Amino acid sequence: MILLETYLVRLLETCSGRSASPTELQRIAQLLAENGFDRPSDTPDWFLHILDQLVEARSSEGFVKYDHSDGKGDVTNLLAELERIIPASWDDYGEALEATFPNGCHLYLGRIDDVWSVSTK
Amino acid sequence: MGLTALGILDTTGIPLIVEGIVGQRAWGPEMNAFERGERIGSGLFALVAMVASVVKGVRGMRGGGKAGGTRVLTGDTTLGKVEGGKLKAKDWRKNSFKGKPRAKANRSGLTLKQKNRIAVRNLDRDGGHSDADHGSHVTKSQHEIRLKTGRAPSGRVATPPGKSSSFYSDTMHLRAYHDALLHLEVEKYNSHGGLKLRVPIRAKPMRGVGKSYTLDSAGYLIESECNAYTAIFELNVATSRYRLITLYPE
Repeated sequence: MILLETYLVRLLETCSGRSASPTELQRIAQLLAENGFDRPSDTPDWFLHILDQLVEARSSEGFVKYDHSDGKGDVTNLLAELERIIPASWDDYGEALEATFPNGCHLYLGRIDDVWSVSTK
Repeated sequence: MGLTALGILDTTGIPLIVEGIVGQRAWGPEMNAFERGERIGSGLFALVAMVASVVKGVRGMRGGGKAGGTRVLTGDTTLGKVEGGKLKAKDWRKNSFKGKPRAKANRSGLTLKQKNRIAVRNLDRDGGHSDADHGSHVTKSQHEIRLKTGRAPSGRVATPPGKSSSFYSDTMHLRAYHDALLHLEVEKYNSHGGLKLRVPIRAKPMRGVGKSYTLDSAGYLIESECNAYTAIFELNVATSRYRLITLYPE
């Protein structure tokens, strides 16, 4: 299990308040394979950083610049698929994706400005 | 009855050609060589003219011809209301009074610029906001409001972005859109061959496509030229077709 998968399972469990079912674990593994996250190097570091902040419910203290071309995996489509699995309030309007999670974290992942932030209540 | 049919056929020129070939008028004496040639020539001219007018008429009904491109059926334009692909008569008259040179118009009565405006506006018809938020009509102050308050020109409110942009012209907007469609055909597949739910066409180079605005530390607007564009498409799972969420210069 690569680090990204671990983080996604933890985020799912944090948001749902229960352990991930075998079906959900299988679905996450399938999504990672479909979106090109086969090796650890396929995942951009900034994406892991975001997930870490969300799982730990930590604020990023402002906007963090990122390079969207890092890693070979497709973060945009992976997040679109995760909207169906992880219970949160998702809003992807193109220029940015914003999501509010049950643990009080708010994610801003900007595409037009290439910055991200995680804020907590 | 026969006379009536012959009269109608005369408009096609066919009876003249037949008379010329046979060398005998339908109602009259035989013809010499000169008269036969004159008869055949007149008949051929009438036949060609009739065929040409029929072909032109059929093309006109289909809306084809050289104009091509997107056929605009209805909508409001800067010149007036468009109905059935044509500018309403009163608006046409209003915009083409004597002494003022009429802009070069196509069959639908719209100039290329007007057709492009409508085509760009149609990019938002599936619920996207490319024209509303990034069209060439978006003003500097609208960009400033978005950057400072998060209120987009379309009225949608979100976290204020670090950058706001718009296309230089409808022509550039459409050029970026058509280029994005080509990329979509390649990039819509995931690594297992399935269709992606959301497809980002990121930072594709296109020189002078638009302008972007940022705020400096003092809150002043800074304008920069954009030489790339980004498009985001979303899959409609029910129809397996993609809709444009947004398209902007960067």
